This record gives sequence, C-alpha cells and structure tokens, in this order.
Amino acid sequence: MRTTPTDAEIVAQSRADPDMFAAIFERHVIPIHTYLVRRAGRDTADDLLSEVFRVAFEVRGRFRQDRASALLWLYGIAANVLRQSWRAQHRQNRVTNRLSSLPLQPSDFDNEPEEVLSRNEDVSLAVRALNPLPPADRETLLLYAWEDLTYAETSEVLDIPVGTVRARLSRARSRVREHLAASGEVVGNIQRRTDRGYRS
Amino acid sequence: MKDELHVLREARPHVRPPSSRVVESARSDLTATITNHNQRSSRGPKDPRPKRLSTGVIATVAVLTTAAAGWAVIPQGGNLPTPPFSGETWQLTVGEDSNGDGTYKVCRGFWPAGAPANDGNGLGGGDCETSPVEVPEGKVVSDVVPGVRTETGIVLLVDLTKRPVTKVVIETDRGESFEIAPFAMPDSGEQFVAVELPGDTTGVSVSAFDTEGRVIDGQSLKDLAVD
Repeated sequence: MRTTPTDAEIVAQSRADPDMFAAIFERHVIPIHTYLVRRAGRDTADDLLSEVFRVAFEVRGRFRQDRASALLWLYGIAANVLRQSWRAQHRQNRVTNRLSSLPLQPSDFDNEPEEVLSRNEDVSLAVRALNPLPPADRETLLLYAWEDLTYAETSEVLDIPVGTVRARLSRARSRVREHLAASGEVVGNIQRRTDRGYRS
Repeated sequence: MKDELHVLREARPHVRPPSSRVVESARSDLTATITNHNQRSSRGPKDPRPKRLSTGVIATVAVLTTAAAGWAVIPQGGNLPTPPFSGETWQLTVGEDSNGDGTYKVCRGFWPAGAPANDGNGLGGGDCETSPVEVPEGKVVSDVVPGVRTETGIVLLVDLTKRPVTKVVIETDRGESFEIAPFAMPDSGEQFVAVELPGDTTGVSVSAFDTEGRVIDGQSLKDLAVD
C-alpha cells in the first residue's frame, strides 16, 4: 500500500529531483498566501507569493528532515521575505521623503462584503493596538493569535527559544491590553466608547 | 469574559483564497526557477573545468565551527554551514547577522576546503560589510575582487547587490567564458559569486543578467593581482 509522502520526504527527494518541489507549492500555497495577506495586504501578498517559494526552493537543503510538515518552515521564509520587502519600501520612502506607512493597515484586509461593516471596526481596533508593538513582538503575537500556532511552533518559525516566545507574548499581550484600556476598551466584555478616542 | 487575545482573534482578518491568476503566476515562476536550476545542473558536467568551477551549493563540506573570534565568526547569526562556492583547495564561507535595526552584518571570505573557519587559518580575500550596501543608483555589480591564488588558478569574488540576478557571466582576457548563478544570503539578500579562473588570467569582464536575460550591469578588472 502506498502512503502519501510527507513534506520532509518530498523536500529530501527534491534535492535529487528538483521537480518534486512543486508538490510543496501545491500543498501550502493557500496558507502562505493567507499569512502574507494578513501581514501586508492582498496586493503585496500577490506580489511576494512567488518569492517565498523561490527562496524556499533555493534553500531547501536547509529544511530540517525531522520536521514532517514544511508549513512552519515556509512561514519563517515568508516572514523574512516580508521583512526584506518592508525594508525596501522603507528605503524607498526615505528616498521620496514620504512618511513610512504603518506595517498594518485595516484597508489592506479583504473581508467579505457582508462582514465589512461589523468587522472593520474590530480590525481597526486590532491594528491600532498592534502597530505600536516592536516588530518582533508583533510577529510573535500574530503567529500565536492569528495563525493559531503553539509556543513551540512559533519558536520554530522564528528560530528563537520557546522561552523567548513566552517573554515576547507576555510583553506584547500586556501592551495590547494597556492600549485597549487606554482607547476605551474594557477588556473583558469588549465594551467600546462611541467616540473611538484613544491615547497614543 | 474575553481578554485581549480574544479581541485580537475576533479581529483576525478573513482572507479569500488567492485568485487562480495569482496561483498560476506563482506556480509558473517556481517552475521557471526549477527549470533554470536543472539547466545549470546539466551544464555542470560539460564544463571544461568541472572541478574548479563551482556552480552551486556543494553539500559535502563539513559543518563549520563558530567558536573562535574573527571577522567571519558571527556570535548570533553565524556562518552558513554549507559554503555556497568551493574548489579543490578553497571554499567561500559566508555569514550574516541582524544588527537589530533593519540592517545586517554580512561577511564572506576564503578558507581551506573542508576546514573550519577559525581565526588564523583563513586564506584572505574577505571582509564584512553592512547590508544594504551603499552603491550608486543602478549599480548591481558592487565589486570584483581577486580573492585567492591557488596552485593552478585565481579565485575571483564578485559582490552583487540585492537586486535579483539570475546569472553572472565572466569573460577572461584569454577568451574563456564562465556562467555562474549567484548565491543570495537568506536574510539580507546580498548576493555573491566566486569562481576559480585559470592562473594565467590577467583581466576579466563581469556581466550580470536579470530574469529577462538582459545585461543589467557590468564591471571590468584589468589587474588580477591578489593582495
């Protein structure tokens, strides 16, 4: 009886037969695109999707064979590709004397039309709470909260110890909690002020 | 009762799957990458100097240590375990580490083939720089440096910027031509090429090609004297 090969087996085989790597793309293109959209918006995600898998192919020799799934490894590559893209954008902004945009923008996300009215407020609230965070803390929190990764999985994606994940999460959650309180959110029942005012 | 984590999770953006056009475009790009890789690999054995020209990652070199102090030993990032280019007697060891401010310390240099990159046993020809490297606008080939003279050849190091380059063609004043795919550092994206040229080479012309097969930059070096 033939069994479906694991990602690790496919990546290993692709070192001798590079065409095999296409199967990794087919398995993970959707979650990687989703991750990119949540971090940078659909247009940027569409642009960077190819780059993530190109880099993955080029560095496939570094994939740890004791990991059955390649998804966490691809998340890590996608995070690096995003960082490089943001740095390039930041340099371009400096060149053109434009203000650097915030890393997350509510308008970047593309909720279904019927959800827009109710969800835009939630997304805006989250974005305002997340943007002040240091990038490393923000990414750690989002991997945990939005990609539903465990501490260990987040540790693997970011290539940092689990203890560092815990510390970053604790710090980030504390700051988000403070921001929500300062902006009129009563954390506990998500009661909102009607004037949407908040302190920076 | 909901805490801040619930607030964030309730605000998690719903994302539509990518369009078929986007998926197909990404699939085509990956196919092209794999095809280019296969073509480079198939050209390797036909090269007149297969043992002296490195066209990709060589996987048989021992893992390098990062124990000793020295320019190529980066405490946190460390050297990549596999040198991207090597020859019979040399290997190009590369490393990078984040400076924590969006820039990287990127190092490269030559060591004896298979030897750990310890301070004191380097072959020279390398240094560190801060990435992104400051170069004039439009420059892609940032430097061409004769790195190491071997018993029979001379190893040339070509520094490239982060702009995607699919291949570098090096033409010698002796009429030989070498085509090499650059290696890109995984985090900083800085690119390098190293190639061993015949020992009697005195001058080279280096051309960088983009994904469309166009020459996007070039540089000549008339004196290959190794420092």
